[in-house]
Amino acid sequence: MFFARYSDAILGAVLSAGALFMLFVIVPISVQVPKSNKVLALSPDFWIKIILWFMLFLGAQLLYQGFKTAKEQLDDEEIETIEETRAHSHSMGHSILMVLIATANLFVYFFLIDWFGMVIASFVSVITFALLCGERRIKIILPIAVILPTGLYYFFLKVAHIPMPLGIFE
Amino acid sequence: MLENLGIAFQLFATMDNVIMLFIGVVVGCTVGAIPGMTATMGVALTLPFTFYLPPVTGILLLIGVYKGGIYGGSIPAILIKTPGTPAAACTVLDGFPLAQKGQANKALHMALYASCFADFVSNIALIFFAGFIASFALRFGPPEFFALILFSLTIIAGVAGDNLARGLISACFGLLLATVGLDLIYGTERMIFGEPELMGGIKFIPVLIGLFAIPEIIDHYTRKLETHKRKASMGEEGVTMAEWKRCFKSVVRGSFIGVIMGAIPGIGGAPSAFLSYSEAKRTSKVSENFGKGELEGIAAAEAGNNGVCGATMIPLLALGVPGDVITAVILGAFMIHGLQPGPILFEQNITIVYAIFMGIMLSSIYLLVVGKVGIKLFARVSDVPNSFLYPIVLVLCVFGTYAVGNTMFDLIVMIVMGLVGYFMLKFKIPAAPFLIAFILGPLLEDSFRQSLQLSRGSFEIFVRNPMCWVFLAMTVVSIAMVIRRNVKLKKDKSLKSMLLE
Repeated sequence: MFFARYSDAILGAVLSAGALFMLFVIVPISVQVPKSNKVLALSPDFWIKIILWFMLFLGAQLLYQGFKTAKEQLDDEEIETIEETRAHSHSMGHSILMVLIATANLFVYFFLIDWFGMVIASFVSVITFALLCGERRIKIILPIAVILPTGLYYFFLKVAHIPMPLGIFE
Repeated sequence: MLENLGIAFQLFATMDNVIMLFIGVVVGCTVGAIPGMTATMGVALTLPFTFYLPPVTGILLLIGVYKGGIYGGSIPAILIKTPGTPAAACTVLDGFPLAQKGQANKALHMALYASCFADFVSNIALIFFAGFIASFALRFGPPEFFALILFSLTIIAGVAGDNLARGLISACFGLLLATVGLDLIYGTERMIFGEPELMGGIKFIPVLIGLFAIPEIIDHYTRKLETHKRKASMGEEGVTMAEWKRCFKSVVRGSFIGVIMGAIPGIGGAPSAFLSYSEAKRTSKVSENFGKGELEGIAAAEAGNNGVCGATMIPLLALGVPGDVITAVILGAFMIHGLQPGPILFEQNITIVYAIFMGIMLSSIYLLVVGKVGIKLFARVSDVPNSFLYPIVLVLCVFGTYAVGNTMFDLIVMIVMGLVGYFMLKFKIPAAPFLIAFILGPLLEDSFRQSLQLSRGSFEIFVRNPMCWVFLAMTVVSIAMVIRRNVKLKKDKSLKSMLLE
C-alpha cells in the first residue's frame, strides 16, 4: 500500500528534481543560444524553458497533493483496484526481478542483432521471451521462432527493399 | 472538380490499394479480436510496413487496420467479457449476457451490422465536412495555426483519463522530447549531446512503438499466468429483419452521436459508445432488459463507437489536428510519406484526398464482408495466449523500428522509450498525451516562432485576428471545463469519503 499511498508524492519529487536539473544544468550545457538573437521568445531555449517551468509547477503541485492525500484513508474503490492488481501480479520483489530480466533481454536482443543479424537474434529472442512468459509448448514456439523472423526478413528485403542486418553472416 | 475526381479514381482504383485496404481490415479485425492488443497498437505495428508503399496505399492500409480494429474489439467483449479495445467496453454490458444465453452469433452479427452502418454514416460526414472546414482554414496564417494547435492540445484533457495532472506531465514529456534536434531558425543544437543521429530530431516510429507496445510486453512478465477464460458458445441464430428494424433507431442515433463526438478532438470511441447506449436505454420500450443481453444495447454501443471512426478524420484531414491517438499515428504516417494534412493538403493534393475518401467508403463494405465471412475465425483468435503473442509482437516491433531508418540507433530509442513507457504505466501516466504532444509540439513551436518573426517579436499578432480570438476563447473555455470537471470529481470523492466516515 506504501507505493499506492505515496505514488503522487514520489512522482512529484522526481519530476520537480528532474525539471530543476534540466533547467539549470542540462539546458545551459546542451542548448546553443546564438548571441545575435534579440527577441527572447525566438531564442532556441525559450520553448524548452517554458515546458520545464510548467513541469516544475506540476511536480510541485503533485508533491504537495501527494503528501496531503497520503494522510487520507484510501477509499474502498482504490483498495479494490490495488487488491485486484495484486491478485494478477507477482510479489513486488519477483515483479522487479522479472522487469530487470525483461529489460536485460531487450538489450541482449539488441546486441545479438549487431553480432548475429536480425534473423538469428529474433529466433533466440522469441524462444527466450516465450519461455520467460511461462510457455512450455516447444513444438509451437520453434516454428514461430523460425518462420516469423525469416518471413519478415524476406518481406523487408525482397518486397520493401530494406536490407536487414546479418551480423557476422554479412 | 470532375477532372480531379477522375484523377483521384485512377489513383485509387489500383489492385494494390484494393488489396492493401482489404488486408488492413482483416489485420485490424484480428488485432481487435485479441484481448490486450489495441487498435492503436495494431496501427502502430502496421505503420513500418507502409514505408515502401505509395502514400495512398499506405494510408488506406492504416485506415483499414483502424476500422477493423475498432469493430474487432467487440468480438472478445461479447465472447469472453474482455473488450479487445477500450471503445468496446460498453459492448460487454449486453454482449456477454446475450452470449451466455447461447446467442453469441446473434450478438456478433448485430455488432457487425451496427458497426458498418455507423461507419458508413461517419464516412459520409467526413466527406461532406472535411472539405468545407479545410477551405475555411486555407485563410489561416501562423498565428491562427498557433491558436488552433494550442486549442488542439486541450484534447490532452480528453485522453488523460481521470488524472489531469498526470496527463499534463505526459504531454510535457512529449513536448520536451520533440524539441531535441537542430533549431529550425538558427540551426543551433538543442539537447543533441554530440550525437549526429539526433540532429534531425527523434524519429516518430521508435517513440510510438516504444511507448505503446514495449511497456505491455515488459508488464506481461510481472503478471501471473492467466487462466483461460471460458468462451461462450457461438450458437447459430443470426439477426432477423424484425430485430434489425427494432434496433434501427438506436443504430441511427448512435451513428450521429459517434459522428458528433468523433469530430470533437479528444473524446474518442468509449464515451461515445456509453452516451449512445444510455440514450438507447432511456428511450427504449424494453429499457428494463438493458444489461441483461438486450440486442438494442449492443447495437447502440457499437454504432456509438464505430460512428467515431470517420469523424475523427475530419479535424485530421481538414486542419491537420488529430482527433485521438490513432489519428495522431495516422498523422505521423502522412508526415512520413511527405504529406502534411490540413488545408494545404486540400489545395495541393486534392486528388490524394479524394482517393483516400474513395478508399474509406470501400472500407465500410470490406468491414461488412470481412466481418460476415470471418466472424467465427476472428472469434477463435481471441483464444491466442499472450505467451505466444508478446514474443511475436516484440519481433514485429524490432523489424518495424529498424526499417524506419536502417539504423541500430532507432532500436535503442525504442528500448529506452519502452522503459520510459513502462514506468509511465506503473505511475499511471497515460501515454496518449505524450504522443499527441510529441506530434503537435513542433507544429506549435514553429507557428509560434514564425508568428513572432512576422511581428518582429510583438505578441500582439496573436490577438490581431478574430479567428485567433475564437480559438483562444475556445482554449480558455475548454481549460475551464476541464478544471470544473476535476474540481467536481474531487468534491464528489471527498463527499463520498465523508459519508463513509
